[in-house]
Amino acid sequence: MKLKIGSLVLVFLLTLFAAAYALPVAAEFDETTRLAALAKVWGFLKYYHPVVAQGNIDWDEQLVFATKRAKSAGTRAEFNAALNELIRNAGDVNFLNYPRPVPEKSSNDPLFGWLKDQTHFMWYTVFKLELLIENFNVNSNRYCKYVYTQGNLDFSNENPYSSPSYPDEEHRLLALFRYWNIIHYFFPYKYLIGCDWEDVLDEFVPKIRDAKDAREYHLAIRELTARINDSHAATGSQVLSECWGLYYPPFEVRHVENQTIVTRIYTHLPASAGGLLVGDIILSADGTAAETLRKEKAKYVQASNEPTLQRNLNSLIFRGRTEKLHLTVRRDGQEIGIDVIRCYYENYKAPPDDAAVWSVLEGNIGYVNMGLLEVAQVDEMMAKLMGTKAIIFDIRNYPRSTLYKIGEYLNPEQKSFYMSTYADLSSPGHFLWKGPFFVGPSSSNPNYYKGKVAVLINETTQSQAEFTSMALQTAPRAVVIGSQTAGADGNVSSVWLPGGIYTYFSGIGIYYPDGRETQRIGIVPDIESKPTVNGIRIGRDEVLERALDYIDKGASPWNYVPKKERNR
Amino acid sequence: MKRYLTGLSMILWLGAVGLFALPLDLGVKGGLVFSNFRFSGQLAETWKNLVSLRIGAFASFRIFKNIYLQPEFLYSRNGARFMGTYDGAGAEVREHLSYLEFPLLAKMRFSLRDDFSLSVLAGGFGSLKIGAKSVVEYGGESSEEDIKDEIKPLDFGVVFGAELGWKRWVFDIRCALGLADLKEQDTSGNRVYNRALAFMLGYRF
Repeated sequence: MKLKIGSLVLVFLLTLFAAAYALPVAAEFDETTRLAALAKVWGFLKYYHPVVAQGNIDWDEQLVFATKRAKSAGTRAEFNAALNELIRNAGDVNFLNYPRPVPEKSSNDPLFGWLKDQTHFMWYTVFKLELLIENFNVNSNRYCKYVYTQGNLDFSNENPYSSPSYPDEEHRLLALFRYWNIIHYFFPYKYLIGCDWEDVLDEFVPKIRDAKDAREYHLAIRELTARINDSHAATGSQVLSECWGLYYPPFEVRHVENQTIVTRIYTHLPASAGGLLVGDIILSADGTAAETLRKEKAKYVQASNEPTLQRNLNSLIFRGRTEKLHLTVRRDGQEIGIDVIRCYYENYKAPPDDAAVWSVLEGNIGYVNMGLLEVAQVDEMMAKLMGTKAIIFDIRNYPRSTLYKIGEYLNPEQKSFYMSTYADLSSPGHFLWKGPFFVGPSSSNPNYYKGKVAVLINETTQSQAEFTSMALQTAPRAVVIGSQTAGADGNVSSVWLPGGIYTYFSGIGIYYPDGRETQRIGIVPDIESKPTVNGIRIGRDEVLERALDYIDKGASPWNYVPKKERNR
Repeated sequence: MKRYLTGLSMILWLGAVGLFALPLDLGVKGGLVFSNFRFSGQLAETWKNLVSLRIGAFASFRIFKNIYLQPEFLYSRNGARFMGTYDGAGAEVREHLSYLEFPLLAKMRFSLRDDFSLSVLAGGFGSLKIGAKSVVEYGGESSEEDIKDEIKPLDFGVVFGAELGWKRWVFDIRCALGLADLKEQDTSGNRVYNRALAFMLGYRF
């Protein structure tokens, strides 16, 4: 009998479960989803409606009205009345404008997948928007236009609403909707962000609407912009600077073997490192474990990949709002306390870089610090290094546009090294290919550099540095040594958001000529090499040593260093 | 705007001159109008005729031998309809525009036997918009919207046609072509004009 009751209960539960599973998932219709739906219609009209595009209507003000109406619209019909008012205020979709005033079919473009949401949109609203898609007729748009020949977009006609730093609810939502739509239509790597961008909107509507003060609002925007997983997505404001603190640590750290290790002490600042030494492992700061600090701040940090996330955290976690910072460090197996005096931002200066621009190392090997080398120095440098057996180009820094000049020496002929994508303003949300683009001598050059070429990279290698690596990789005997780079390639575009917030993103797409991406994945090294805690402690540059080893051994590097599985 | 007003005042002025200077022949008429749109640079065959009513009054003055001047005052409904399919289901768009129309026609009359006469008509019209609505139907649901603000308040154009007369009855067929873009704001690069074919029966008092 017991068994029978047990199985009855089981059957009952199973039935319940099956019933729950079989029910259609009813899409929510609440204030959050209405506002998200409004954001999509408003942004769509901004880029697809010819009258809005002219910029004579204060489209932001229209959003403020529409937001208020959408919030109080309790039914789908009321909500669509609000949307239709917005469409009418845009100059309407006047059917007699069109020789064919009925859209043929609903668009299958995933860009407009939201139009299929019948919980929010009535057919009549969809009808009009589909007509605008089918009969796209925007010649120039005030809110987005080409700025460079590379294809970046200029969003400078957006009203910045720089103050107050804590805007009212409608203008906070405006910030979200403006940014969401710019990314939706114009971020060339939207397909790589690793999540559904529409879910991000749903998530941030309540977060930004309910932000209680300037700090919460600015942090919410910072978190939002981190979601595009783009190392270029720097987002800043006065409020954020004060939130992180205006006092900078007088030392540099790196995240090596999951530990925070001191790599450099600054002596040029009016501050004190309190006896901190290179190689010290920082365990905690003001009583909070370094790893906890990293975890707490990670969601606010924009990065294409994990090494870059940790790189950006390196400088962030030791900033603060007070001059004093108490560190607990591990040195030679012992924990010791250190009191650091941080540097006020006004007194902060970048550390002097007195390293040699280029030199010839032991064994007739050229070494070039690409962060210092100027274009004007390339001819002289290459004349001196032409007879070396190898040249190491260190790009663990930010180069100074030297790639084309160097490329002429390294290649026997022109070689394609990248293709790009840029926003197609005749079809917002889509991108066009450009290229391939070339590096190398314009006519064939039999006297090109015959030695080995080693390119050093790490997570500091970002953007133009990654681009330079791609160019140098074309050299016949080039090998890339190091670790995953920042994975943010392509010139940046910028935009202002209400409250005095500016943000950037990769504005064009950069690809290898065969279509491989560098966004997020970065430059993939041929030989992976990372520094170690022990190496840093005794002052070794293990990546450079690995390069020297490769040059010296001469063997094919792939034979004895298995390529590790790299996280994307 | 100035252009329309000048056109309209010309018509009124001529009407006034006619009224005072010449023997008067007044009448009423009404009938059906098959209206549609004419698109600049594009075939308009996609839009179908909308059939509506048109009624009004006219005056006719003989100014020279068999030449008459005929001002009219009409209430006319214009517009067009479109039928298509959207995602496999039938969809229809109907645009209704209503006007007070003031045609001024020159008429050349030829007498035929048995009290019949045949006239040819040519002239112009000015008209004043009094309403506009847009009706869209799809999948058994319909939506109606006032689009008065999106249509220009004035229209003008040319009229030509023929009139058959018998005793005090007249029957006329005429074509009216609007020459002003209908839309207040151009969002498509298309210019749209009214066009109408009207059949009216009238009676002279």
